[in-house]
Amino acid sequence: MLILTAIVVGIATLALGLALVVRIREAYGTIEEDEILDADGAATADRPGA
Amino acid sequence: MSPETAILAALAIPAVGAALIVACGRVPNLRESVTLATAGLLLATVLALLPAVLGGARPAITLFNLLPGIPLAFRVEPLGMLFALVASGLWIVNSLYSIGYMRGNDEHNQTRFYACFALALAATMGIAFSANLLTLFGFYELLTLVTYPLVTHHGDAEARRGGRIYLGYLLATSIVFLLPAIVATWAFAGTLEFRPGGILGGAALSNAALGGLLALYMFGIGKAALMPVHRWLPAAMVAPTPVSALLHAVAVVKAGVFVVVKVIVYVFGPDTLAGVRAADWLPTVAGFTILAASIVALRADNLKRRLAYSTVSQLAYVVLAAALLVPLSLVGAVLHIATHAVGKITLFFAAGAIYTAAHKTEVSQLDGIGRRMPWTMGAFAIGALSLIGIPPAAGFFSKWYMVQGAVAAGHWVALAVLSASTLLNAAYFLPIVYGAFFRPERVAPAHDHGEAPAAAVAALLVTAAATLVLPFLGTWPLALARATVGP
Amino acid sequence: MISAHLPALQVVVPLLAAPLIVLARRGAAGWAIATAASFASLAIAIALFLQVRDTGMISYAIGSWPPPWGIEYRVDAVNSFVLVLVGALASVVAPYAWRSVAAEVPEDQHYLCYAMFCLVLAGLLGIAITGDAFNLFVFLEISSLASYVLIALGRDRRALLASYQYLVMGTIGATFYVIGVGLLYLMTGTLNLADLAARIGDVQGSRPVLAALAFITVGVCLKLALFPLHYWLPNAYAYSPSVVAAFLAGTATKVSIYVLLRFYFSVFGEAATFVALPMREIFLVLSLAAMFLASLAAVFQDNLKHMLAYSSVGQIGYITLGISLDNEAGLTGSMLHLFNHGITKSALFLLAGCFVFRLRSVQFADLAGVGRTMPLTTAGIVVGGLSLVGVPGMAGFVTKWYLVLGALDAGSWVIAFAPVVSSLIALWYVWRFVETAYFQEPSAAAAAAKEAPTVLLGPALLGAAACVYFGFDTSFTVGAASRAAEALLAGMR
Repeated sequence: MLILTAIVVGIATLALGLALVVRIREAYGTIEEDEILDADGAATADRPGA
Repeated sequence: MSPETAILAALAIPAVGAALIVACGRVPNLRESVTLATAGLLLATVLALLPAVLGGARPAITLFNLLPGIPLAFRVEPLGMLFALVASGLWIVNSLYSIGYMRGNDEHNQTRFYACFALALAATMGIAFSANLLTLFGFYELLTLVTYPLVTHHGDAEARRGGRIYLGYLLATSIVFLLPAIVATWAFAGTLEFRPGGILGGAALSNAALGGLLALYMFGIGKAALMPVHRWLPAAMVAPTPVSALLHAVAVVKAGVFVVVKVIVYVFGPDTLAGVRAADWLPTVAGFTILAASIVALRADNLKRRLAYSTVSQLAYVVLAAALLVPLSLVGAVLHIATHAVGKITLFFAAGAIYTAAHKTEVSQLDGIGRRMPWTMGAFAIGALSLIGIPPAAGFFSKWYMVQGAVAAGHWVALAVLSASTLLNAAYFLPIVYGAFFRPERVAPAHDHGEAPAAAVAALLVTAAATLVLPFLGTWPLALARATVGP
Repeated sequence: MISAHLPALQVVVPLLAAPLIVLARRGAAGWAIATAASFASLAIAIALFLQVRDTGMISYAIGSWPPPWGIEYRVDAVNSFVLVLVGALASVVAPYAWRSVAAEVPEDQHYLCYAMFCLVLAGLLGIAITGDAFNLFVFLEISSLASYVLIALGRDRRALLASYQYLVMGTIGATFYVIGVGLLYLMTGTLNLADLAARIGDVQGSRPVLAALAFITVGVCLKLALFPLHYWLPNAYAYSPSVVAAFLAGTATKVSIYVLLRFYFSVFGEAATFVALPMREIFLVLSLAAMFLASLAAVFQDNLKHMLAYSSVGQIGYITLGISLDNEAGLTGSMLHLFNHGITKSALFLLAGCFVFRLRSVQFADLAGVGRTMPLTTAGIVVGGLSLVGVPGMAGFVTKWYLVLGALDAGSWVIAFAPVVSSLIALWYVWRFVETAYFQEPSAAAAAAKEAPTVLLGPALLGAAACVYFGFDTSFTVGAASRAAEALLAGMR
C-alpha cells in the first residue's frame, strides 16, 4: 500500500523532471550542462536577472 | 504635569517634533520655529523633573515587557537628570546655531537634518531615563542609527567613508561586546535593573569574570571612545559642524560616558569593583587614551580634528575618574559630563563660525583672525580655558574633584596623567588663541569677512557664558553629582 | 462540530482548493480561491494554536481509524507555532500575488501558479500537522513537486535550471528520508511518530536505528539547506517569481527544520541523538560555517535576490546553532528564529518583488539611487535588513538574545560570540544596499521608476512592520517558542 504511494510519487517526480529537461532544451537548445552554464555566463553580461 | 508624565513627554516631544519638522519641510521659517519650540518645550519638561529629583524622589514608569522579566522601563536618578538637562539645554542653543550655520553655508537637505536631530534627542532622553540595561541598549542603538544620516549629510564619497567608519565602529562594539555583556549580566544577576550599589554584587563572580565583563562593557560602549575603539570620532568630523557640536557635547559622546558611569555605579557598584585586581587595567587604558589622544591633537593641523582628539582625551578623563571608584572622583566624573559639554560645544561653535565666515579649517590659517572675529575667538578662548582647567571656567571644578579623588585613592599615576594632560591641553589650545589675537595674518583675505551669521554668534556667546557661569548657576550640577554617589 | 475536525480541515481546505483552481482555469478566479484558502488556513491554524495553548496536545485520527494503524494528526506546542507561521505568510503573500504574478508569469499559466501555490500550502501544513512518518513523506513530496513547478515559472530561463537542480537535490533528500523511515519501520514495525518514540527505546543504539538517524538527518538537511547542502537554494530563490521566493523563503526551510526537531527530540529522543552520535559538534561546525561563509557570500552578490538567498542560508545557520546547543534557551532561540526569520525574509522578498515590478530588475547596478524614487520600498528593505542584523526593537534581536543566552548557559563564550560577530557580516551586506540605494546616482531604471502600487506595497510593508512589532511585543513569539522548546526537551509527544 505504502510502496504503491512511493512508486506514484517517484513517477510524478520523474515526469516533472523530464518535463523540465524538455523545457530546458527549448530554452537553451542543448541539455549539456557545461554548454548551458556557458550560455548563462555570456547572457549575464547583457540581460538583467529577474 | 506629574513626574511620570514628564518622563514620557520628554521622549514624545522630540519625536513628535521630528514628524512636524518633516511636515513643515517646505516652509523653512516655520520648520525652524518648530525646532526651537520643540527644544524649548523639551527643556521645560526636563526642568519640571529637577525639583523632585533634587528632593530625593526617583520618578519611575514601567511599560510593557520587552522580554520575559525585562520591561521597557524608565527611572529618573541624579545622573540621568544631569545628562538630560545638559542635552536638552544645549539642544536649543545648538538649534539656534544650526540655523545660522546651515543657512550661512546654504546646505542641502535641511529638513532631514533638523528631523534627525530631533530624533537623536528623543533617543538621548531615552538613554538618560532608562531604568534597565535592555531599555538603555535599545535607545543607545537607535541613537547610532539616527545620527548616521547626520554624519553622512553631505552625501559625497568622503561622507560615505566617514559614515562607514562611524557606523562600523559603533555598531561593531555594541553588537559584539556590549550585547554579550548585557546578556551575561542577565544570566549572572537575574536582573538588568540599575540599582545603587550594583546588581552583580551577589552573583559570586570570580575576579577574572568581573574583570572580563568590565572589559566587554568598556570596549562595548564605543560611544565613550576609549582607545582603540575611538576612531569613529575623528571620522565623524565629515559632518557639518552643528552635528559635530551635537556629537561632541550633547548626545553621542556624553551618552557614551554616561553609560560608562552608570554601569560602574549602578550595575557593578563601586564596592564590588574595588579590590578586583582584574579591573586594574581600566585606569591604565583610560590614562593611555588621555595622553595618546592629546599628543595626536597636538600634531593635528585641522581644527576639527584637533577638537575631536581633544574630546577623546576629555572623555577618558571621565572614565579614569570613574575607574578610581572613590566618591570624590565619581563626583568629578559626573560633573565633567556637564562642564566638558559646555566647553567643547563652544569650541565647535567657534570652529564652525570660522568656517562659515572665513572658510578656514586649519589651525595654521588662524593667525590674526581674532581681530576680525573677536566674539568668536573670545568665546573660543573661554572654552579653551575651561578644557585646560583654569578657574573660574567650569572645567576647573570638575578637574579639581578628579584630582582630589586621585589623591584620595592614592593613585599617583592617575594624578600624574591628569597633570600632564593639563599641560598638553594648554599646549594645543593656547597657541591658537595667542596666534589669533597677537600674530599678524599670514594672508590677507580678499574681503573682510567679519563675524559669522548672527544666530551662530549668539549661540556661541550663550555657551561661552554658560562655561563661566555654570558652577555658580545654582548648585544643581554639584548636587546631582553628589547624589549619584551618595545614598 | 467543525472545530473537532479542524486538524483535518487544515490540510483539506488548501488541498481541495488546488483542483478547484484548475477547474476554474481563469487567473482571477484562481487568485480568489487561493487567497480564500490562505485566509482559511490561517484562521484554522490560529484556532488550533489557541486550543493547544489552553488544553494541551490534540490528537486526531484520520477517517476515525485509530492510530497506530490509521494516520494520526497531532498538534502540540511545537507544530501549532509552525502552522500559524505558514498560514500567516500565505495570507500575506496571496493578496500580493495578484499583480505580482500578473507581471512575472505568462497569463495562460496564472491558474497553474495559484493551483501549485495551494498544493505547496497544503503540503507544508500537512508536514507540520501529521503524526505519521510516511504521511510526512507524501506531504513532503507534494509540497516539493509543486515548488519545483512554481520555481520553473520564473521569467528568466535560468529558473528552469534552478528548478531542475532543486528537483534532483530535493528528490535525493526525500529518498534519504524514506530510507531512514524504512529502516525505522523495519526495526519497530510502526510508522506513527508517537508509537515510534515509544518503541524505539527497545532498539536504541542498534546499527539500523543509528543509520536511520543519519539518513533522515542528511535528507532533511538537504531540504532545509544546511551548509553545505544548500546549493539549490540561491538560484531557486533568485530566479523564481517574486511571490514564490517570498512564500518559500519563509516557510519551506522552516518546516523542514520542524521535521528535524520532531525526529531528534520527539522520536529518537535527546539522549540518543546527541549522545550516541556527535550531532552537537556536527551541527555546531556546520552552523558556524553557514553563519559566516554563507553570509560572506551574500556580501559579494550583484543581485538583491541572490543576496537575500545567501543571507537565508546564513540565517538558517542561526537556527541550527540553537539546536546544537541543546538547551532551553538555545531551542527557544531556534524556534524564535524560525518565526522571526520567516517573516523577515518573506517581507524582504515581497519588497524585492516591488522592485521587480517597477524596475524589471534587482541587479545592484539598476538599484542605484532607488531610495529617491521608491522611498517606501527602500525603507522597508532597510527595516527588514536591520531585523536581519538584529538591531534591538526588531524581531531578529530577540532571537540573538536567546542564542547568546543559550551559549552562555551551555558554558561557551566562544559560541556566544558567534551570532553577534556574524551579524556584523549581515550589517555589511545590508549596508551595501543602503549605500547603493541612497548614496549613488540613480540608474536609468531607478530614475524612471515610481513607488510600487499599494496592493503590492501594502502586504510587503505589513511584513516589514511585523518585524518591528515582534521586536517589541514578544509575548506571542517568545511565549510560543519557549513552550515549544519545553515540549521538545520533555521528549514526550
